[in-house]
Amino acid sequence: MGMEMEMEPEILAFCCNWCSYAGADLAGVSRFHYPPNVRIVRVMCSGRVDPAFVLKAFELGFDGVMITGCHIGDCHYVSGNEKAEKRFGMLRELIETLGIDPKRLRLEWVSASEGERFSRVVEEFVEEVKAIGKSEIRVDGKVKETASIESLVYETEVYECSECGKCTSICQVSKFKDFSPRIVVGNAVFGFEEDVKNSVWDCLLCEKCRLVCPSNVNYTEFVRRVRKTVEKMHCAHGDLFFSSARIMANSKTNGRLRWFEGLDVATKGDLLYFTGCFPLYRFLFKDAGLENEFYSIGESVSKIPLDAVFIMNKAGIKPVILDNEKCCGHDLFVVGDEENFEKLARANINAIKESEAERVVCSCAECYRMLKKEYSELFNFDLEVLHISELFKELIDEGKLDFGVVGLDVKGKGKGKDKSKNKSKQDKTNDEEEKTKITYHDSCRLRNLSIFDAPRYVLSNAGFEVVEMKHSREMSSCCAGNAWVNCGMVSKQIQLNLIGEAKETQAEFLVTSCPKCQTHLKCAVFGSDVDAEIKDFVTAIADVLR
Amino acid sequence: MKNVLVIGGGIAGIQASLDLADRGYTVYLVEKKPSIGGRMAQLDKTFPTNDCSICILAPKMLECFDHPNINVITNAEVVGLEGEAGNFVVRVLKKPRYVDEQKCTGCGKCTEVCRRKGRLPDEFNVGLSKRGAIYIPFVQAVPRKAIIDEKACLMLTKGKCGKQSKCVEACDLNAIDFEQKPEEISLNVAAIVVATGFDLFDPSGLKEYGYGRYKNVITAMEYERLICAGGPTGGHLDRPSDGKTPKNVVFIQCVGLRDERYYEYCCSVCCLNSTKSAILAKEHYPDIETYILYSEFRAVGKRSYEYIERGEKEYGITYIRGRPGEIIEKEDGNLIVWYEDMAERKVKSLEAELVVLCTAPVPSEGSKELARVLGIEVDKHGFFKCKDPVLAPIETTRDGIFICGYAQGPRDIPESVAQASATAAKVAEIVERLEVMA
Repeated sequence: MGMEMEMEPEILAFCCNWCSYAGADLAGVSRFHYPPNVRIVRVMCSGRVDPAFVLKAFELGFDGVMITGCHIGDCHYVSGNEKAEKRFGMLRELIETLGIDPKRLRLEWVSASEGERFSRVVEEFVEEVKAIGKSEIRVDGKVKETASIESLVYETEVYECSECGKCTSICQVSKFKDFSPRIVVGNAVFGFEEDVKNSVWDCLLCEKCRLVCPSNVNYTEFVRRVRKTVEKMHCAHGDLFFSSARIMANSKTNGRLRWFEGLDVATKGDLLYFTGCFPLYRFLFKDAGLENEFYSIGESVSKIPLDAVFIMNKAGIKPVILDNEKCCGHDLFVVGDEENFEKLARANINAIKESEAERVVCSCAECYRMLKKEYSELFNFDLEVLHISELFKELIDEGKLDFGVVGLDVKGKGKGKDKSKNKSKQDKTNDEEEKTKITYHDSCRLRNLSIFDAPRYVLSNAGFEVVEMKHSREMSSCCAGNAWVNCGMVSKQIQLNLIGEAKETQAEFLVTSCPKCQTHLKCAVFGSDVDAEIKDFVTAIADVLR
Repeated sequence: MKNVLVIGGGIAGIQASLDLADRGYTVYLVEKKPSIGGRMAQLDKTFPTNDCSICILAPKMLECFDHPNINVITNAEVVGLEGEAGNFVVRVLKKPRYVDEQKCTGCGKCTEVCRRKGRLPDEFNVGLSKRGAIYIPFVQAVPRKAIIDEKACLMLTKGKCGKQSKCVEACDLNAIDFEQKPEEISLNVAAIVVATGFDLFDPSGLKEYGYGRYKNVITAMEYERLICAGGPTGGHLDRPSDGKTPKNVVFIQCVGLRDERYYEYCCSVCCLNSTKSAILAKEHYPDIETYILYSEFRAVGKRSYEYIERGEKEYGITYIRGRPGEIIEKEDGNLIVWYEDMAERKVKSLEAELVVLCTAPVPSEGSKELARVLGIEVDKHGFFKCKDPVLAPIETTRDGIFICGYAQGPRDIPESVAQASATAAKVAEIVERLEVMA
């Protein structure tokens, strides 16, 4: 033959029921020719195309995705196509960050009478995708079952359970639903596998039960591994976050340095700042014209890394940022997708090693947990990992981070006393009045690594008065939305309970160090008639410095 | 040589000393604290007979102290050992009392005038009452002599206590002596009995129960002092937050025990001890409600399970199987106890006005150091190792050194007394055999 086979791209087209699908149909009956590379999915409106659908298509290996709908002004649902247009802009940005050429995604308006236009658009797109080449991404979405529940009982030694009921009584879910960690384990031991599989998605994986268990039953590890054996995964947000993580695990990502324009960052150096994926959240929440309060969640979580670098710059640190950093893999890990988790972890570890950094600092509680515990335990990652509060504490102690708060006790109690002596009584009372009362929520991932004192130390040095909620430190609540799995009435109850506790303290706002806690708690607030302000730890500190 | 050293002056040490002394042995009883009596002296009642603990112990303490063959050395520790079975040389460090034991009559005048009176936690009442820098450990203390706390006394820490120390002024017998120095005593003994008993586990590490954070969560020993007529409240069950008599009391079993994070063993006493405590509450306040949240009953031995049945049927104690996972304090000091009722498989909560944690008795703090000094071994928890756990349970890994009481392993008072007598007999037998061989 000798001739090279031409690459044939696979294209997925979403066509709206009223215009584009009819347009495609017209192209067919009118015998207009167009390349056979396209597979059509009919949707009621282009506005129905969830970002998760697009990501899923890329994840499954499609080389291009086309969204088609009625011309602007012709939408049968008034403004569905306008929403699709907005979403298209943000999706292009998103897929670029995930390592997909934005040209692989296309938006076209095709009316019911434009059969010829449909065939032309498809032809053009196929040619364009041919020029880019075959997509390298093809994720096997199905997690492979590796072990039976029976063997997991032996591997994780959950049979050690002595049935004392401590886990059930500390479990937050059990207070609203018929659920018990102990009974999940019991069912597994007695071989009721269906019951086990049905209940593993109710677990928040907050690890509180494991911390109080007198028999050291590693319940959370057991649940995590059982999740792997369950074919159908439960999750909110249409699998979108998981798709992004899986795509990142299988693509070449870059572009994180761009987030930090105007700030001082480096590509090589001693201290590396692991940014986390929050700026992606901005795109993900900027959905379907939802320019309401929910959209503000994305804005505020995506600001966190910028605020962190801003503070580090203030303290004279120019942190290393990995342009090709990937998701830490937390969410994939907790749902049992170890294969893709390992890909992400290894890519991150290699990138960190290449940067020659000696210490890694994380502002996201989940990244911190993964790097500190799972990366080191599973992949021998041996660099020192700090939570950002630990770094700030260090900087405050070294005198490099100065909040300029008058009369503040910077280095222990003695110094503050001396300062206040020189001041008039009037000044002192003013200082006391100025202190903003806040409460700090310990997220699960920091709780389980005992990061309690550093954030409180930094906050009080920044001039806040930290008041405690009923559930704080070792006993802190979970935001009930671990890995986007558990969203539902139970988690809303838990979230509102937490907000209620924060309100009881009379604090002006709630500070947390986990972007997911912030997201979920804000979501609960916006969806109810409660009013509460929630801020990230880093943002709260940065606001003081500004 | 018919000299024996007994380390530890609790009920086990006292019993072993008495048995040996009655057989004609000269006994040196070394006690770390200023008085003998040990843990039993702190208890209000003993199970399963509900006898007043100090009433049955005090005569034994006095008998021991007054016995012509027993030399009680209090406020002292064993610091060195040489030689071998049949001929040990023991070095004992007697710490200064700063009060002449010969002169002091225990009148207590000095304790009334101390400048630091009412400022220091009283160890005997587990901190529920306050004492001064000079104090008598407790009313029935043996020897009933005053002692000065060298870490708190102004004279001993700062070298100055006003113009003149008030205790010196108050003492008609000139017994106070700030010049006393630690004294090392050398003893020649044929055998040693170790009866160092137990200390109590500090439950503040179990954050789920909030001990230390919540005022109305107390330990079983604190409860024991509260309910004791000779205790700081005169036997009134005044809860710490507001002094109110609680309408109900919840006892939580196995705190720090049967727990792989802390101690895996079963203390063997708290099922019955909590029943006793709940019975006492009922006897003091017939309307009080009592709940015992247990892991499972381990009431072995004579009249033990009957005791629990009696608690349930005669006194109306509510027993619930399930270890609570969380306690939350309310504004009024009441506590919400969350537990799973294992009989119904349901999560429940109950509002308790007082929560009592039955904390683990753990081998004495100094037992590892003592083992090093004596050249014997301890297990991972700090209990002394036996030569053979089945056939030689009271012999240690070194010849001539024996163990009895809680220091050997978890057991209750009657068993400790029985074991002490067994140890005394064993010591006598071995010492006599050594003498014949020599």
